[in-house]
Amino acid sequence: MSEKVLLVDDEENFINTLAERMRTRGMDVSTTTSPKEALKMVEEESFDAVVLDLLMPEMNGLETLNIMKQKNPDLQIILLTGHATVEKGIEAMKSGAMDLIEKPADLKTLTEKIHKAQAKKMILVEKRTEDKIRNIIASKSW
Amino acid sequence: MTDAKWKATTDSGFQFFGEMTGSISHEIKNCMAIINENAGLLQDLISLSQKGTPPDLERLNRLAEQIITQIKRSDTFVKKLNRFSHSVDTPINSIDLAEILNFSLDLSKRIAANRRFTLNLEPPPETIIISTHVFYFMNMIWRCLDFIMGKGAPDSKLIMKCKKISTGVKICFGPLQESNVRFEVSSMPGQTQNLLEILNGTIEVNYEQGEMILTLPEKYSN
Repeated sequence: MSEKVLLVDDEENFINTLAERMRTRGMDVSTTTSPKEALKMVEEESFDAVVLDLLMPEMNGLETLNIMKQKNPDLQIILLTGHATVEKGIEAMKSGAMDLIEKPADLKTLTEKIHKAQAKKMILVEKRTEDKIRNIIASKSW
Repeated sequence: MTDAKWKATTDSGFQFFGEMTGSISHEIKNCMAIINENAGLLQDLISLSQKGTPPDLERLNRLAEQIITQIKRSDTFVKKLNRFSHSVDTPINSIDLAEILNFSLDLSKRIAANRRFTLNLEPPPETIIISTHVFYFMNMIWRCLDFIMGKGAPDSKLIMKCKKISTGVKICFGPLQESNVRFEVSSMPGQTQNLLEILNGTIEVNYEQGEMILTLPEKYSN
């Protein structure tokens, strides 16, 4: 099953070219340069992974991540940064990011992380479904 | 000035240097990321061509042009970084005020954009030359911009103006937001006070005009 990915970065050329490369590798990719639009898109569609730039003029990546996680706690978000440090990595994980990658990103590495994101999301969805079924069975006095 | 004040001023200078160079390096990284993706796409298309898909020469040419565009763009950032790093070569220098203010805005605009502010300079009607400590002057301008952005509402435009007066120059920052709580200049961070002392400058606030005004002498003396 092809991964459904949302790319969010204020550099249009960057995300358009990256999206094209990802599509030739079988991924279903949407793009936006606007974090505010990205927030609407994650409400309307179900993405396996969001690749999100940390530093953007309209709204910074961590702020966007926090709002996205509030709307959908299962959303897997990979942060892109120009300078990946241990401190930034810890801050990103504490905020709920799945991973942090430094630009320029190696596409093979990014693709592997997106595969992991899809797998993680499927596990979370399966667990939620199991919990629902368990609750239904427990609530019925058969 | 006391040793403690000099140390605080030096630390402030390092902080300013770090903020500006960090911002420029981020811009260069963005260019590198675009070049990386365009070069990667070039490789993808070559790989497809080797498997039998006829190459789209027009497409390949556009990719090459994109790479050249980003190299030129990153070169402007490196030139900015270079100029900034050389601002300490001759500490006291005569400068064209509008030109150095433009450069200071250029250094600051990415950080300002990330805080949702745009910066503009209204050029003065005449060329104004002052003699000052260039690095501390740029540090002072950044401190003023940083302070005003901290007091302002995001998604607004900050305007700088400058004019010659009999004793030196006035550099005005505004507009201050109407809802701004009245602040005392003495409430500005300590390093700003130290920079004012080094530059022999003063800061005042004109609430009617909605401006913060930095006044500096025409000739540096310390």
